[in-house]
This record gives sequence, structure tokens and C-alpha cells, in this order.
Amino acid sequence: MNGPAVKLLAALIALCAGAAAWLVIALLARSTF
Amino acid sequence: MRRRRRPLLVVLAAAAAGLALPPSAFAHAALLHTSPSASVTVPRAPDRITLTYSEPVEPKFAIVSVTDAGGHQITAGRPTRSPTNADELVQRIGRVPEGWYLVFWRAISVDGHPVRGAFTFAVGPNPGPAPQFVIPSISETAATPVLLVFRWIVFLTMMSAIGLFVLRTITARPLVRTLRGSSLRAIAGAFWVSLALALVSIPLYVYFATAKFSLRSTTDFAGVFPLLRSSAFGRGFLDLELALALFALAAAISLWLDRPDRPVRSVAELLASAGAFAAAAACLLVPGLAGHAAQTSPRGLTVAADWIHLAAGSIWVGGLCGLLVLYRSTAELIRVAALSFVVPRFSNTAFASVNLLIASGIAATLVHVPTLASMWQTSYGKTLTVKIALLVAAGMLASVNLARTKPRLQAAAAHPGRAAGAAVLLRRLVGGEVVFVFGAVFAAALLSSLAPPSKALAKIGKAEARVGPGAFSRHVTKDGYDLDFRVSPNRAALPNSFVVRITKDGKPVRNASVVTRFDMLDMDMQELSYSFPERQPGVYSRSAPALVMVGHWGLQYQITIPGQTPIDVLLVDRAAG
Repeated sequence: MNGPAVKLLAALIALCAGAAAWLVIALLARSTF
Repeated sequence: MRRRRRPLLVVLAAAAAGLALPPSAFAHAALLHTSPSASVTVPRAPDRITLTYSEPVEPKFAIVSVTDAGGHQITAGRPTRSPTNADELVQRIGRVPEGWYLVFWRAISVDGHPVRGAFTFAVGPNPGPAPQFVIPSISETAATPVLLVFRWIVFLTMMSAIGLFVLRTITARPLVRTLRGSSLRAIAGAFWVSLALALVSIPLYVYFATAKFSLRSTTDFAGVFPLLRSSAFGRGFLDLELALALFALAAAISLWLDRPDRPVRSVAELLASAGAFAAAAACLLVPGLAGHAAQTSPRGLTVAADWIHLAAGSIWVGGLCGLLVLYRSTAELIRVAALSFVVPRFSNTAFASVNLLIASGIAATLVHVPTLASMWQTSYGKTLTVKIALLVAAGMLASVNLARTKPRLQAAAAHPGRAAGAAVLLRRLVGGEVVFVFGAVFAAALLSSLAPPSKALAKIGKAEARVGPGAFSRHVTKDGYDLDFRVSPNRAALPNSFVVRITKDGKPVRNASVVTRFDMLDMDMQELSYSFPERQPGVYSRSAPALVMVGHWGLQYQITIPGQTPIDVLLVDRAAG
């Protein structure tokens, strides 16, 4: 469970979460402006 | 040289991008047009009332009441949005006989602030004299104690969580490999508690605010739930909940992967941290997008300033909470050593954050507050003054830490006794700082619940006189002309009689053009303009419901006498309800 591949996969999920948060905010900004 | 110029170019590009965003029209929904028109007599009974606003208004939150002289409701069903114009509300009414009718409306602005107003119209041809209608209260606020406390908790927990994450993953991280026996678990624990509180308080805040704005009971779950995303305010804060949940996921992975005992981070650690910081940065944009910043021109710059303000405030408040947690959670034997390592590092970060906080705060103040006097004359300005005072008090305690405590802790190896005393002093000062900063966040929560002062306030300095409340008659001499201004009954939402009498050397001045602009001074609203026809020699008058709400109004009279330079007279009037 703690292998490098699992860690990399988890890190990519975290990165996608960050990108998804920006997507949510971009859609909010589009409806605001 | 090229390297030095790069930051300047980035700032200029950001400023240009900010200015390029479309400007907002008004901070709040303003009624621009009604059908039937206010105070007119229509020959036939209308079957509907249409209200056109300066921005789209959600019908689910709108109330349009139409009553006759006896106070009987004549509406048929709820208001609906016009299929052809999103800014227009339509309220159907039943068949009505001749007579006078009162229309009372309430709508919610994009930033969640409720706005109310009223006007009358008559059905002819012989409606009779206008009755004295009893108008419901036309003042309403978004700053109720319950909503205010919820807003405070939302801001505080979100900011603390983000600041604690920064402290745990950047500022305090090297402590573990520098000081044997030290741990960052308590800081991580405080981060999770803050984040959990934020995730619980945001939906509760949206629920209670939606119930209040839609005038429903908080126990009316079936009525309130479908409305949660119906307002721009609700959508903004529910999107914040989603973004914060994504931040929680990214932060959990980042903290799970992080090995603070290793000086160099792995690729996986770096990627996970980048994801978590990106999500945190996104979360901090929401209060600006769902609040005053996005409604104030230039919107790009005001939203950017709001984001910097919140980010800097988060690093400060979260870091202070983290220092207190570190003090309490670290064993007494290594406490001074732990603080000697973390405090100087945090001081540097906090110093930069406070400077950014001040700079972005000044930028926002310059945009939102039109005159210096509005800092003590308006509720918004008074709250802002209190917030600044609290931050100055916190800054003074911080400067003592910077000047006295930090150097003593840095010299812990040489003077262990002095460092132990400095650690106790640090706890006390940081405790005081936390109290002041928490108070400043409360002031910020109140500030974002109040309507910013109107830009028209900038004209007050040039006012010839302050008049009202109640009917008034004021004499002004300008450019050799005697000008008499009368307004009665000078009450909001009613047709008021506005009269201007112009004489020169005792003789009436005829054929002048009199145009009057009405600016709401307590909040940004569409400016109204009326032309006054000459009813008698030298007497120009009009009856109009121009003072559409209670508060301060700028009455800007422009009098053009043939062959003369126009005369401008500004009266600041207070219209009562």
C-alpha cells in the first residue's frame, strides 16, 4: 500500500482535486461576471 | 536587469487583466422602471404589474404586494420572471375598480442583500384623492446576529485551516528533523478541527441565510432546501463547500505523503502539496466572488485585492493559532528550543503577510469608501474603522514579539534563562494577538454583510445644505439668483412634491430648465432624474416618488436660465419612512 506507484497515484489525485477546485471557482466566476 | 523587471511586468499584466474585466453596474438591485409607472393614473385597470431591475432578480425570493386603499391584497399568485427579460418581474393582479393602489416589493441582490421599495398608482379615469397608505418597513438588513455569527465562524475556520496548513507544511516542517522529540501532529490536528468546523458551518450558514432571505421559518426544510442554490449568494457558498472538500482531500493526501524528517521532498510530495495549495487558493477566491468585490468596479482588481487580503489574513491567523497549539503540545523540556526554531521563521512569514494585508486593505478601502468622512458617517465606514483599530492593536503586539521576543528566542543557546521568559511572554502576546485578530475577522464578517457607502457620497462635500427629515423649505442665493427649494412630505416611497422657485431682484425668472437628479447616498443605486416644468411664473415643480427608500439622498438641481451659465445646487436630504 505504500509503494512508490501508490504514492504517485495519490499525489495525482491530490493534484486533480486542486485543479477541480479551480474549475468549480472558474464556473462560479463565469456566472458572476 | 531583465530579472528585476519581471515582477513589475507581472503586476502590470495582472492590473491590465483586472481592468479588462467588464465593470459592474450597481452594488445592489435597483428598480429602474415599473408598469404602470409610479404615481400615474392609468385609464384602464392593468392585469399585471411589471418591475424592471438593474440586474436579474430571483422570483423565488421576491415579494410583490399590491393593496388597495383599504389594505386588501389584490395579487393573483406569486411573482414570475418575464420570459423575455431576466431583469423583469411580473406580478399578476385581479380585476380592480377605480382607485389608488400601493405596490410594495422586496428582492434579493446578487450579493445576498435584501432590498425593498414601494410606489403607488391609480386606476382612472376618476380615482379620487390619493389616500395615506400604510407602507411596510422598507429597511431590511443581511446582518442579523445569527447570520453574522455564522459568517464569522465560516471566515474564521476557513482562514485558520488554510493558515495552519501553511504552518504545518512549510514554516514549521523542518522542526521535526532539527529538534529530536518534537512533533507537528498537534498542528495537523488543529488544522483538521478547523477544516471540519468550516465544512459543517458553511452549509448551515447557507441554510439559515436562505431561510431568512426567503422569509421562511428555519424549520421549513421542504421550503428552504430547494432554494439553497437559487441565489447567487447560495451558489457561491455551496461552491466554496465543494472547493473546501476538494482541499480536504488534497491536504489529506499531502499530509499522508509528507515525511518532514527528510530535508528534500519527493516528487509525489511536491505534486500533492501543489494540489492542496491550489485548492486552498481557489477557496479564498469565493468570498470576493460572492460578495462586494465582484460587484464593485474595477472588478478584476477588487477580487484580486480581496483574495490577497484573505490569503495574507489566513497565514497570519492560522499561524498564530498554530504557535499557541505548538506551545501547549510541546514537552516543557524542548518547548523553548521548538519555539526558538519556529517563531523566527513564522515572524518572517507573518511580517510579509501583514504588509500584504495592509496594502490590499488600503486598496479595497479606496475602492469601497468614497470619502474620508464616510469612515465615521456610515455603518460600513464605522465597522471598517473598528476593524482597522483591532488590526493595529494586533500589529502592536506583533511588533513587540518581533522586537523583543524573537531576538531572545534566537539567542536561546547563549541565554537559556532569558529565552524561557521570552517563551512565556510570547504565549501571552500571541494570545492577545489572536483575540484582536478574531475580533477583526468578526468586523470583516459584519463589513461584508453591510452595503458599502454609495459613490455619490463623494459629492456631499459640495452640498449647499443638509435638509430633512420631514418637509423642508430652504433658501439658497447663487450667481445673483434667489432659489427656494421645497420638498413635502419628504417621506420615502410616497409621491413627494418638489418645488423650486427662482427669482432675481424680486421678479420671477421664467423659461428656465430645471432638471433634478436623485442619488441614493447610503448604497449604490440607479440614479433617477426628473425634469420640473414651470407651473406658475418662476415656480417649477413636480410630484414624483423619487425618494424610493429611507435614508440619505443627494438632490442635485441643475437650473439652466436662457443665456446664462447653468447653476448647480446640491442638497443632502434625509428621507424618513
